[in-house]
Amino acid sequence: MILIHLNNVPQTLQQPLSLQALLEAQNICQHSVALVLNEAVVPKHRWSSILCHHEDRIDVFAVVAGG
Amino acid sequence: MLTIAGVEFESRLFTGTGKFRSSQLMLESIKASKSQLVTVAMKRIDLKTGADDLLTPLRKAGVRLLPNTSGARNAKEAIFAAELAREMLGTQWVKLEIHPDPKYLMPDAVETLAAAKTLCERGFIVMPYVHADPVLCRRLEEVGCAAVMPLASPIGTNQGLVTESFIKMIIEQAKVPVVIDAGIGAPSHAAHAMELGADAVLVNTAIASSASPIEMAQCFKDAVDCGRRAFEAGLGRVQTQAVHTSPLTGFLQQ
Repeated sequence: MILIHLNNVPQTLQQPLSLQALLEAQNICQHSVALVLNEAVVPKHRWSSILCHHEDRIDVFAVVAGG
Repeated sequence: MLTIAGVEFESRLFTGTGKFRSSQLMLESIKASKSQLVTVAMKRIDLKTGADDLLTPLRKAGVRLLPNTSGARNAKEAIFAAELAREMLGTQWVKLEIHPDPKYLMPDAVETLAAAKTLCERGFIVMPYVHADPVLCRRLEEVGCAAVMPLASPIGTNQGLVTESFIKMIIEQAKVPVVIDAGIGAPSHAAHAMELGADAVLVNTAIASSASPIEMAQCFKDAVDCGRRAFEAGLGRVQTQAVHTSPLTGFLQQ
C-alpha cells in the first residue's frame, strides 16, 4: 500500500502507478496541466516513466483566469 | 508596430482573463478588444470538480498567452511558478508579479528584481509588474527584462493614472517597451497613458466588471488606438500663459 498526497489530499494506491496513470485514474485532462513531484516540476515526457512512491507529494496545476 | 522580444503586436491593448462573469463572456470580450496578448494565472486543480478547460478556447482565439506568477510571495515562489507555466503552456513568456501584501497588492521590488535576474538568465521573456519606480525599471531593463509593467494605481481599483509623474519618467528613460498595468479604470485613462507615450496598456477589471464587458472591450480598443495615434501625431506643448489662436488686431475699436 502506497500513501501519496495529491494536491494536499491523502490517497492510498494499491499498487505503484506512474504519474501518467495516476492522472488517468483521476480523470485529469493531461494536455492542460503541469505536474509537480516533491516540489520539482516534472516534464510531461517523463510522466509515464516515473512511479509514485510512498509519501510522495504530487501537485497538479492548471491554467485559470487571471489578470 | 509594437515589438516585444522580437514578436510584433498590432494591438497595444493587452487584456486579463480574470473576474468575468463567464468564460464565454471573457472570450467574446477578448475578441472584441482585438487584444493579442492575454494573461492567465495558475492554480492547483480541485480534484472533486476538476479544471475548466480555459486553454483550448484561448488557443483557438489565436491569442498569445502571458502566464502570471500571481500568488508568489517571494522570488523563489515566482521562479517556481514561471517554470510551472513554461512546462504547462510551452511558453517562455511570463508576467512576473510578486505582491505579498494582500491589502494593496503592492509589488515587492526587491524580490521582483531578484526573480527577474534569475528568470532572464534561464531564458524567460520576463515582463515584470512593478511600482512606477523609474530606478527599478532601469534595473529590470539592465538584467534583461523584455518590457516593464509599472502600475497606474493598485490592482483592480479603477483609479487611473495615480502614478502619472513617474510613468512619464519611466517612458522617457526606457529602452524596452513600457506597458501600463493595473488600475486603469476607464477608456480615457488608457487613452491618456497612450498619449504619454506608453507602448501598451494591460486592462482586466475595467472590462470584466463592466455591465457590458464586450462593449467596454471595444471602447478600450478605440481609446488605445486613439491615444497612440495622438502620441504619434504629436501633442501640443502645455503652457501656463494664454496664447491667442485668433488675430488680436483690436479691429472692433479701430
